[in-house]
Amino acid sequence: MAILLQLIASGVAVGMIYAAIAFGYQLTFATSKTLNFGQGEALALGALFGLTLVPFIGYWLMIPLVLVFGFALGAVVERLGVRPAVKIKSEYGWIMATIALGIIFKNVAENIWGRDDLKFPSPLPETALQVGGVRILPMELLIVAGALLMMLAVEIFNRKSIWGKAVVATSNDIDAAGLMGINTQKVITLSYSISAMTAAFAGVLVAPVTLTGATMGSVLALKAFAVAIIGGLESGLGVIVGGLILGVAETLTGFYISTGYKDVPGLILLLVVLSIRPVGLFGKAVIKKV
Amino acid sequence: MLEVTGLSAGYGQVEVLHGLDFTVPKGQVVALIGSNGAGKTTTMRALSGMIRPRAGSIRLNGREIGGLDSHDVARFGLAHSPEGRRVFPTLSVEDNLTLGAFPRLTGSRPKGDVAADRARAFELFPRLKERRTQLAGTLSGGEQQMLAMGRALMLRPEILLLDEPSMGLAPKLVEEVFRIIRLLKAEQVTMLLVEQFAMAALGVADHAYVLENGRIRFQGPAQQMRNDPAVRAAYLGGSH
Amino acid sequence: MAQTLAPAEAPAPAAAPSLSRHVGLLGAVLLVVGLAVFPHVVTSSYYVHLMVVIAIYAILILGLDIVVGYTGQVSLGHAGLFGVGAYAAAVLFLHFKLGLWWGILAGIGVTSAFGVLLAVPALRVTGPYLAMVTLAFGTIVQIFINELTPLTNGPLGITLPPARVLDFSLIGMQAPWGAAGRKLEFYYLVCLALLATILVVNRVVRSPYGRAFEALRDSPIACDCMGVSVYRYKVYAFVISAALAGLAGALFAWSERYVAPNSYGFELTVLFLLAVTMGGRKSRAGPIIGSAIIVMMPNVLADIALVRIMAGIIALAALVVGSLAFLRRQENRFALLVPVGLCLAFFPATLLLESVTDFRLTVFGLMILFVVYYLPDGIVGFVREKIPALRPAHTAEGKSLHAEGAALSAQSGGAGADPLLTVDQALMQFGGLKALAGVDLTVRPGTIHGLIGPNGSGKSTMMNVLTGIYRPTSGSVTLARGQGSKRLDGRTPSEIAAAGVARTFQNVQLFREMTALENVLVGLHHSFRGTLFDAILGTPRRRREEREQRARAMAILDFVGLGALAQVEARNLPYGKQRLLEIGRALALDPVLLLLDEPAAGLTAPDIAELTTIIRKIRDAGITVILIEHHMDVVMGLCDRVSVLDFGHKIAEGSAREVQADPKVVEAYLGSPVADEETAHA
Repeated sequence: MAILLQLIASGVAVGMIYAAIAFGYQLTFATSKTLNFGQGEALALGALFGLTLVPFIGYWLMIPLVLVFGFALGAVVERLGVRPAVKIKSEYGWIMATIALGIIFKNVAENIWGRDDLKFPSPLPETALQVGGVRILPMELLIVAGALLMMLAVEIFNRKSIWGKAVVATSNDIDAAGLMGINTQKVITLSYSISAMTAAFAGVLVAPVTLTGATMGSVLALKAFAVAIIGGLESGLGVIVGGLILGVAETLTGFYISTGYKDVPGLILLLVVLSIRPVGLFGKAVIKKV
Repeated sequence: MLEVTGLSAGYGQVEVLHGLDFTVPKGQVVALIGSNGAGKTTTMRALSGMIRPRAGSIRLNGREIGGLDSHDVARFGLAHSPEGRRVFPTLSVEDNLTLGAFPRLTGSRPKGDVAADRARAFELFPRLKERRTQLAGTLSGGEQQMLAMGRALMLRPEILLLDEPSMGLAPKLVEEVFRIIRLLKAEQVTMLLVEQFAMAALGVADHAYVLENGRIRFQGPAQQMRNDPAVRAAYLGGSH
Repeated sequence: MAQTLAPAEAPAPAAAPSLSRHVGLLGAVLLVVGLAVFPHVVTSSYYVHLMVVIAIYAILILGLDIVVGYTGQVSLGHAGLFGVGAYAAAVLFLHFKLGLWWGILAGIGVTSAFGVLLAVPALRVTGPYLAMVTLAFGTIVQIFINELTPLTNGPLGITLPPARVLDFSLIGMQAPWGAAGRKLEFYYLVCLALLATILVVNRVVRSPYGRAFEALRDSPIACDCMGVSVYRYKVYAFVISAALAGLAGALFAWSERYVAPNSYGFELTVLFLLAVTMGGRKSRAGPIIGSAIIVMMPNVLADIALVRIMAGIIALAALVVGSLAFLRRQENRFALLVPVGLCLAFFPATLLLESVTDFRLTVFGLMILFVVYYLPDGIVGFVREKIPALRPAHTAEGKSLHAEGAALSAQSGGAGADPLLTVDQALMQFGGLKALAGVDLTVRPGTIHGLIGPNGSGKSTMMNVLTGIYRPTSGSVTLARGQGSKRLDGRTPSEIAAAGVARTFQNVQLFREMTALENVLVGLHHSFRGTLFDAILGTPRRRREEREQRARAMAILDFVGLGALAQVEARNLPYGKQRLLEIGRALALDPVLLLLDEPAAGLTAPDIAELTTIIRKIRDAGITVILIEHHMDVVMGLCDRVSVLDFGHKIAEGSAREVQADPKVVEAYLGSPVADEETAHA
């Protein structure tokens, strides 16, 4: 029983990272019906950039700089990878372009930071806390808190600020948003910037508890997509639920079956959900218009 | 106020509008009527920048706005309450109204007192006031129409485009909508009204144009056209 | 075929008949000869091996083209299928000591089965969802290969001995080509496999299967409504593609003589996609060119001197192109600044670096970006654009096109008493909205029945209910055919099409990249009896059927007046002709009931006259027509009976004249004067 609780506790932390990345997918998909296939690389670059800064200014001061870095990165991805493809209405175009950018970023990162995985210094003590018989790393608590805080911050932005409302309006109805005087192209760029920012932030959150390297983001991003699908690419709450389900399923698989198969439940879940309900568990069915 | 000359527009290979000429003088209500497929909504879309005109010119207070993106057209004071309402369903009634004033809040138009205008909108549409925090997607069709009109008014527009405000509404609500249009008319709001239901539009407009197959068939003072059999023929066929 | 109309957006004037078939034949001959003599000219075993890899990859990429080029989907899982094929062969050897030929069989068979498995989640999704599904699939395959150590030897991989292609000792002989020749047996086997693949793919894409693949890319909805099940053909596309990937994988295992889990990952999949895009989709030469590029590229990149020379050439070419664009004041000259600038910057970058191999993937990434934006049709597409004679030959091009047979199969039961179609209290509810609030409709056979009403009255909803796109909330739709009747509500569009109900669409849903003739041929799909094997083997039955159906399709095109435009791509037809083509395609279904959704929308007066004539001829052949239309003149002139909808209710029914004069109808369309307190002022 204690082991089960332990596994669930670790699963929650992992799950929140998935939720945070999936959140980023939702942001861009809502406004532009596109997403960044290189989201994992945004996470890795955030972590590596943060790693480089930490010896100079420490963990906490590094965070805002990583956020700015992620913000800029998102704008670059949108400008180079997405906008030209959307203009010529080519789905194949932005899928391949964002994949290509991801590959380029990963390769450049490998050359700058090397191919080996690095250790990211943890800002919090690395001894586990005992909470009711379950051992939890302080960093895992930070992950959960950080991810939730970030998603909350974006939600508040969406609800309170006029630009946030413009983002929601664009996701609801891009034509009507234009009629309001909203420059929807800017909104799309903004959503990509916020999306990459959240990925980069997730990167520095997860880096201390895992190995940091150019490849750290790839599988995370794929599984986060599973979470986004399960949660529905339009729903906010769904990704948190989806992330938790996946995170726990993984830690349980890793323990009871084998660590090699740890990644499998997420992927199978993705296939199963899409076979049965292509819009995701929380998604809304679309009425065909012919 | 609004001068349209030689407007041609369409979708893909299809040209829907073939050289329209019409004007909307300041302070007047002009109606554009015609049966479905005549090109009324296409005209609205070309005016508000949702589609790009292929030929012709659109001048708002002397400034050429043809071919601009919709957010730029809104900046210059053209508000469009679109066909089908198209309110933002996951935002509250209040937020929808606030977004109508987006160019004012972000510096593209003179700011004025947005809160006061919002209060005015609630005066004009008491039903919206009751539901100010409700999500717009949960409103009824009639309420959404009110919201769309209120939202468009929040721009403090030079001209208000109303695209088929009566569509899908029960007769009682249509009455309500036109009562409001009359109120706005009394306040000298310049309006271009597109309606499939000719009678309602002719009852409130000063001047009317009948559109058929993308061309203006005839025009005249709205009063005169109410009993003109030619109007009925434009909708139901028969001798012209 | 003389074309009398100038197409609106023709990419290149289709004046010259396509020489593509002749060029293709020439290319094939050159390829065969080239492959045959290559190992005797270039004797280095390193380069022979390189050719083997190029050929093997080309086999897979030709299969990938079916999914990417023809059905238009992005598949990120083909490296996984490749791995399945390779491991199928390797595992057979590891556990059963079975050699090359068994491996090939297993590779094709097992991977095809995986193709079916992959198709299941892929059926109902498209675009990025499909891409993710295939990516997940590929990742799962990799994981399982890595973990199932007892079966696959896990991360250690499996080593294979040299392949034994032909065992002459079995017939008590020595190889006639000596020991040196023996070493080349595998090479020639792979070449034969490549040639066979080219042949198979050619046959498949020119068959009804190929047309179905393109149709489901261009318009899945129209596909279903023409009786071509999107699901079924998606599965076919995936399975054929997988079979070829499996063949390639098995050959690869025996070529490299070593398989390991991490060779079949995301990177390889992206390389395959780069190859098919850069080479050129929907072609045979493209995948081969693309394969050569991705195999040779690492070699090229390893040689820094060569890289610098190439970078210099690229920079020079970019400079020339950019300068010309500026001097000629081309429209997009500023847009060219970015790629030209990047090309120019590439050169000094290579001078600064000592080795580019570490940046191999960056180079690939840049190549993908370049191809996606500036060369979307690949090298082959680029060449085809510049040399119009090389554009792909569509089906039947160059062959005689004569019409034969009746365009329409006359339907019996001309003016029978019993209704053909009965709709009983159809209710269609979307959430709280009642698009159809209990509508009854009776359509007599051999008549033209009009369905009119103002915007939002439910006409299009009714149309979609009748053709199976919506399932009615309640109520029934019954079609009487011969003896017995059939319930249509609840059936799929494909089934309803098979029952004899055809339709056109409000927004034209043609298969844009296919010719008019091919569009009609898709409509004739229901009459093909041949199987996939008939198509691949090119049996006499297949050829006869193709001839017959082509003749029938021409007859239909003549009927709708498009005989002269048979070889024009649908997207290049003038709008009016597109609408007529849609009708022609629908007629190919041999329907008893034809549903026309606003056929006159956007048409000019002369087009409308042509349309009404054709609709009358259709009715005279005994086909019943239901017409949704806003053009009152059209409705009044054509319809025997008219039903009027308003707010989801039927408010009037009768002859056209009666309905036109009905005050309820007038009010529905014009609205009533709105009550106001100011009437006194009027």
